Amino acid sequence: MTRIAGEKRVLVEACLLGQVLDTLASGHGEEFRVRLFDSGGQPRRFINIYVNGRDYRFLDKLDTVLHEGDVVALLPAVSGG
Amino acid sequence: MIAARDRNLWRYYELLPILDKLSIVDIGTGFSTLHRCDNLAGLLGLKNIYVKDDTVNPTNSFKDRPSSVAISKAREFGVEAVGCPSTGNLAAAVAAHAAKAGLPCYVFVPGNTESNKILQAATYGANIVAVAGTYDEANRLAAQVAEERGWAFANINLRPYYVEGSKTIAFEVCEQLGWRAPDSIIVPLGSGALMLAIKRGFDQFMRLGLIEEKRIRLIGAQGEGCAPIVDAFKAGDEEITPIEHPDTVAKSLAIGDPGDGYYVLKAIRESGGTAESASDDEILDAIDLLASTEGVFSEPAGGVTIAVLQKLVASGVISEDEIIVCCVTGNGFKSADTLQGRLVFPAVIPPSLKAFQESHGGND
Repeated sequence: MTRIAGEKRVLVEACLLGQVLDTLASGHGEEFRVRLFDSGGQPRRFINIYVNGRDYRFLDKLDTVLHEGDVVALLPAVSGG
Repeated sequence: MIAARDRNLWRYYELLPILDKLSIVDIGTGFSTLHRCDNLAGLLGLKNIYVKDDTVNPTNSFKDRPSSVAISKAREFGVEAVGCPSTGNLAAAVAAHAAKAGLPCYVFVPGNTESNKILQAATYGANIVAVAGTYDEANRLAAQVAEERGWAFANINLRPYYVEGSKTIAFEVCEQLGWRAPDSIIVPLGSGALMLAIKRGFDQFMRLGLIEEKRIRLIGAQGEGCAPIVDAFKAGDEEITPIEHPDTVAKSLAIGDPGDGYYVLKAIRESGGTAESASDDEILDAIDLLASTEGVFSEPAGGVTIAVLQKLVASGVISEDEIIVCCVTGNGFKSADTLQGRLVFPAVIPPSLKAFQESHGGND
């Protein structure tokens, strides 16, 4: 995100996690959208998404409800050691 | 030409991603023993079982291989500090190589990591960050710290270089088998990076004409309480469903969200291989079996490999004649906390022949 959009942290207003991602994608250009979503509109496999430190797949995925002050983190999915 | 070189992983220097030999940070990793396990083979009704014994590396796990490459590259890049998230083995390996390179080191480990692994990394001088959570949470935090501080983490932002070190296991196995590949290889799976690196190693040797082209069966092994790759394989899924709360005695492999899982599934399927898991008891029994038949003392991650071998022999997946290599990736002392629970410490006897005969039976 830093390399394309030039920012590390962005403030977004939204109710659902999916809306946050859409807002980010709309606000930061096609190159960012393509990196974030695959052709089926799903977040790409190699991007991990966390809400307040919890993997979104253990919550309600893109339908996860967000509250004021929640932190959404997008990180490359690398693991193992 | 290769045969005459130093007996460590840097004998394959041309195939490793370092530009200048002066960057190499080496504490004597690799060219580990390939045991021919005739006792174990006899018990299982097989003819050709080999164990690639990476317990003997400088920090007693295969992680010395990727660490040697990653820290060498970090030195080449001129970074300020190195580190990694780890279930324990990588922490020790990175810490030791960082010490040799004179670089500060930060390792992120789950709070329940086995104490010997923490002792080891700390003694090499690493700053230990113990995280109240799973490996996956320690991994996430480490990724955020690496981004924030610009530090070079072996398995995060140095990952493309890191993974190249592990492929030397495949190179050595081929060289040690007399410049040929095995028919099958059983690899314990955490993130899955090791299996993909081993596959790449075989592929590269075939492309270079150092071994004959052949299809090698890749077999993945995990502990039942955290087997997201095995589960996906058995379900015929392409995507991995992550495990939120890993619960297996094979703590080295307790990675609920294996980053390389998708690619490992593809590789296993394309090779005609398989994936299987083993229970805690099966793993611990397998450690005892390997140690008492072949003299190799493995931690649970290696026990998983032997336990899965036994299961696949019983189910007819492994045939009598095939040349099969099992990867034993870490030394049993790493998991002393776990293994000691099974030991019934012998009663202490007075130092007399009579006392010995009373406790061990007479000789008449």
